[in-house]
Amino acid sequence: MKSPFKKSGTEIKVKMAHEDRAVISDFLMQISGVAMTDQSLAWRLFPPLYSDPVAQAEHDLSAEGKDHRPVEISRSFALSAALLTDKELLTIEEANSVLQDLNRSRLVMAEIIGINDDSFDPGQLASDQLKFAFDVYNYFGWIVTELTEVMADTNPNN
Amino acid sequence: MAGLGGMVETEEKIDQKVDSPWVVIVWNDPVNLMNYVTFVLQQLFGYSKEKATTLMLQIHNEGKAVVSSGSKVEAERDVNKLHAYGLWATMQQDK
Repeated sequence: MKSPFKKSGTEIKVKMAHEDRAVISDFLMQISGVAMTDQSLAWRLFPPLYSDPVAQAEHDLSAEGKDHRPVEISRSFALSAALLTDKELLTIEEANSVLQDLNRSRLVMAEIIGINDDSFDPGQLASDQLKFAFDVYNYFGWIVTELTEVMADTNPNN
Repeated sequence: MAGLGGMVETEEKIDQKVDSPWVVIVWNDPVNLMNYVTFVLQQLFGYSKEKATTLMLQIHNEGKAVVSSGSKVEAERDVNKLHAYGLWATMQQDK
């Protein structure tokens, strides 16, 4: 399969058909909706700051522990969905934001599918819905991989 | 009841705790892809591809790796950046 992204000067060219882009954007918005309404499916998006649970509990109780991340992430998902739908060329910052949100969506999908560790067996998926979700999860994984490779090419440390 | 020696020792421990740096740990997870983790470590910390790959493999094989260290403020900034990329990172004071 040809990569859906290509470096173009200082920008990233999106080489997907409009239909594919619309589908990906739609999935992003659906997953954003799930993540914002069911925190149990979105826990991977909100890791603790501290390794020590006591320090984390103190942090959560303090003013600085007030969590604005759900709103920020929801906004970011919406922006990335719009970028993927509308733009042929992404700036590095825009591509970075899209990359983060595609990866975040996989974190939510993993919870829906039940991927808890590296030994996950897709053969155990019971319903067609979950099998479809696993296909989308893998498809997003391929897109994340391809975009990461193109983005890495722009990194001067490579 | 602790004697004077005990108090001095306790003060030394407190001083050590205040002074010791904070470390940022990235933990293994089954979702984030290997090339993505390598890219993030390069992007955030300016590491070479070799160093970022070594850290990524340490995370994958050993379950975790220390990816940066510094003051509490610096560690908190790094953890928040790693969280934005979806990596499971936490901070703790180095012992």
